[in-house]
Amino acid sequence: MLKSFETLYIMDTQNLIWIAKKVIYLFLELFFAITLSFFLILAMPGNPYIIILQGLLRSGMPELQAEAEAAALAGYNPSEGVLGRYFTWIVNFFHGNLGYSVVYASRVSPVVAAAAPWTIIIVLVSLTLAFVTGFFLGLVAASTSSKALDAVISGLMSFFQSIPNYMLALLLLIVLAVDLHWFPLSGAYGLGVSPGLNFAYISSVAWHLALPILTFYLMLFPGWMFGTRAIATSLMKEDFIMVAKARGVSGNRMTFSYVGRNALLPQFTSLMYSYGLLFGSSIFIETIFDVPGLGYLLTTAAGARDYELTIGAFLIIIVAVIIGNFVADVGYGLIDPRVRGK
Amino acid sequence: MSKQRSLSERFKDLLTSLYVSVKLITSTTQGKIGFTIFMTVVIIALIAPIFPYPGPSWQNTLYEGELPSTKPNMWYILGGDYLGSPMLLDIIWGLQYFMIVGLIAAILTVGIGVLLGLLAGYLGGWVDMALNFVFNILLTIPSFALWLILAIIFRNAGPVTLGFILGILSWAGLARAIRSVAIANKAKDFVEASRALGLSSWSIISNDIMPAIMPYVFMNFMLALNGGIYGSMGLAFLGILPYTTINWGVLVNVAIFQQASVYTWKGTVPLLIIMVISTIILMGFIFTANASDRLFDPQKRKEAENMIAASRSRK
Repeated sequence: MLKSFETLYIMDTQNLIWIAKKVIYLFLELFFAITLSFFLILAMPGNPYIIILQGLLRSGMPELQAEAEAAALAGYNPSEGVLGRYFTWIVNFFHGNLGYSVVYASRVSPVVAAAAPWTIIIVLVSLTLAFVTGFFLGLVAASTSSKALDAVISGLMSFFQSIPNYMLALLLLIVLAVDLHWFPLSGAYGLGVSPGLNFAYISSVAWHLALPILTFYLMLFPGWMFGTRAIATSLMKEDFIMVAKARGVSGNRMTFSYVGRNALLPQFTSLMYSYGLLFGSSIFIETIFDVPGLGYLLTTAAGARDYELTIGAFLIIIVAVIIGNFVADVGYGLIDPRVRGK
Repeated sequence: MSKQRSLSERFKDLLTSLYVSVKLITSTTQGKIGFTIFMTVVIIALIAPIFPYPGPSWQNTLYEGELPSTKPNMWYILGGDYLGSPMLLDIIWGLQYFMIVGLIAAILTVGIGVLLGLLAGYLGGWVDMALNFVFNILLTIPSFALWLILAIIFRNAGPVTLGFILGILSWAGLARAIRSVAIANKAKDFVEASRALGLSSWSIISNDIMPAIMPYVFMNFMLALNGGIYGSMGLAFLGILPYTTINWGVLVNVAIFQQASVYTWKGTVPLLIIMVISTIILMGFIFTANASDRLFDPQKRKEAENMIAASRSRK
């Protein structure tokens, strides 16, 4: 037992090379993904420079001064082509500068940094809850193997898989907030509370984020339950379970310790992938509940042609996805030595 | 033997295999419900042009958010939308709109996904490495964020352009799945045998590998149809698509962001109708997709064929 534990955590050179290769690959992925996004985002029609310039000229500013001012406000040099702007952005990126947001009249980094925690809280809480409850109930469902329960699970899953997340969010908003007044309509915290580590603020945030989290939870939970049940059911047919059964291992111990542990590996990997992927799916939920997270930022920025802010929001989302993939791959590699050799 | 078959015989074979397929899909309750919904949607989408188009001439402040009634005329049986045109016509024409979007998105997704997935899996080597890298890059960018940007680039997107937007970059997941199926099948004995016989790559792909990927193709076609409905409704809900009441997302947008209709009981009725109908349709499609794995199970297919043959001979 101890021996296998050691081999799991000792980093020999082969492992390090494997991880280093993986990291380089992921950086290449990030680079190309952000490059593709950059050119797509810059292809959005509309020109903040012209809009600002016209405004300044109308206010009676001399032309040369107005041009310089507009270029500063729009955050880019209009004589630069798309390629030029791309290289400027890359150079700035390596200096830790993500550019300038026209809408927020501020540098992009603090705007994105202020938005990210909201999305992180929503994703983290809802997905973790959905995973834990889904995994547990999935195991229970697999061990009982009743036809009625199967029908309930697959019915629930097809319903929450089918209803568009914006419709579900609206339904919860109408029923729980508008009609029953159980939860607030929108925003991330109440008007009267001051942000900080005080009880009033934290409880206000919890109350305001309850509906967005519930929406995500309802969408995700049936999938985890269904997936776990499927894996557990196929594990039940494996030889080692048959042997354990023949040895007289009790039902509960069988379900949670024999089947559960073996089902955890594949499910844990997909959980890590999901954390990253969910970052990009919060657009609707944040828009409907007015939570100032990354998804909300992305729609506002893209709608206002705030190019550099849009790219900033994309960057954070893509990084989250890639980190999720990395943790999943490396975690799997550490647990499953068969993968390392490749 | 197949050379000598006449056209009518081939047509008969096609009909029989279609009949067997329908029988297989509808052999479960889920499949029955799903297939019924799917066929209803397709038929309504096809015959939509015989109904009046709910254009500006139908908009009437008198019937804005009107509850279901037969008052001005029968078209208001589901009430009026937020501009006063009849909900029923919005829904009928909406189905056609969504089917066009979904069909184009699904053809693009499945076409590109299968082609690139097969190329990567079958050819292997550096082609595989390069293509797999492209799949992985596309999978890191959230699809809805991409659709959002594309919809802004191609302003005033009609259903055809919209289908293109939703399908053109959404094939990476399918391509990766097809790639692994192709790799797994490449090493199988029957493929080795075909190669040893000197059959062309094309023949191997179409005869040996294609059958293995058919379940993915059908499943992903249905899911892409769903994605088309979800995506075009969502983009309209965010206010990015041109204003047309036949995209139900526009109605939801008006209800929430412009008229704040959800705060009155009467105002929520059209919204609830749209919610219920869109969820039923999407659920029907998922049911059909779930039931489709039986279609490509050779054992189940044989059983169904035998059963049909037996019931015929009994007559």
